[in-house]
Amino acid sequence: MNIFDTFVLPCLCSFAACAAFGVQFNIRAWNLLGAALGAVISQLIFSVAEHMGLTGGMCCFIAAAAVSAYSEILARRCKVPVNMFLVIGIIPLVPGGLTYYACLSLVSGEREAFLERASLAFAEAGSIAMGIFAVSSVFKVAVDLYREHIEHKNLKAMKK
Amino acid sequence: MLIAGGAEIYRVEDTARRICNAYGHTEAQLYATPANFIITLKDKSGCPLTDTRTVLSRSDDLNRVALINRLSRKICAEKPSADKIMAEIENIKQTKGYSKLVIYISYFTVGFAFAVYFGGSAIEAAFGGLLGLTVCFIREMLDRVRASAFLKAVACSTVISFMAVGFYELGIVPRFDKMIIGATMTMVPGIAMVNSMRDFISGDFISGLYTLTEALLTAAGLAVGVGSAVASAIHL
Repeated sequence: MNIFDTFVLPCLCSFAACAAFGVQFNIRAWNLLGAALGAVISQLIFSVAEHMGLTGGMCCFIAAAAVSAYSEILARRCKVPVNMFLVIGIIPLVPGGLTYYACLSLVSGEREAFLERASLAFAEAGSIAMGIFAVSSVFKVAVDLYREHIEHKNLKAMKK
Repeated sequence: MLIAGGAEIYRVEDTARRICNAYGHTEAQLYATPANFIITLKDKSGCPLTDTRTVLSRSDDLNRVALINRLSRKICAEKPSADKIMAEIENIKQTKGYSKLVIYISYFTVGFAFAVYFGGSAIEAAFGGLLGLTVCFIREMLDRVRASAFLKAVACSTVISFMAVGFYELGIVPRFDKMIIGATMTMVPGIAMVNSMRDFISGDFISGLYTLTEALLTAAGLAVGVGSAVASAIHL
């Protein structure tokens, strides 16, 4: 196994590409670095999961869940919107290659290859969405509870 | 303005509600979608006041969202006068984005890095970057005539696919697929995808569907453009 090709190169590429993506969305300085690091994290987790023999959908789910946890935490610490990190973080997971080859087999009339690739691409895209969904829902509930707790505290303090 | 910068609907509604609460309007009712925004307040005599805004154009400016987020925190904490707030908003509007050159470089980098990522060689990556730049130019041109996201996706992906196949036919690059993938990655509707998920989570299903449709249409546009261009180029 070649460590450079399996792990290091994809991470480097993700870092560069996602930092550049952040520039397009006008993300600034430290936030840009945080966002690009998020992309590296998701890429690394994806590569490791893939290396362990998980299916593409599972890899995407785990990586998306991890990167949304990362974004939620970092965004609260830096007091910036969560999607600043999340949008960039999931970009390495987007099944661009699969979608392309699905298109290609569609236009060249290979119906079975198209169905296989398209269903894989859909599964990966759906898994990314579900990964975000799972983690962000939990965070939302946690944050709402925390806010209620703080308000409750404030009320008590005011009564005293 | 938050909507125009690419924020989730939850953030828009939450921000507006907090600001209203900060100024003592606890009965504010608001409704926001990616295309419009309605807010109703009650004045002292209980007479309702409504303001409706239509959002004409949106861009992907997350920095602006972050700045307004900060401003709204400040508003809630300090309750400044209306003049001061308008001045601050004007300030944010004036905040410069990255310069043209940096944006061109970023498009090049995305195309380049993703071509490498999908297994392209150095020369393929360089041309992938070039195609990324082309995407940027076409987008700018179409932005000027206010083209829809779908049209932009179709136009960009068609042109870059033809260019990629052209380079391949000229014998400059060994394969054309990595370059096309790399360059189409510059157009992935990332913000729309993430925002629609977050809208669904916070229960704004209409907004979620709206942005999800936008994301899917853009992706379909990319597929249409690449597919048709590559198919016709192969048959030529």
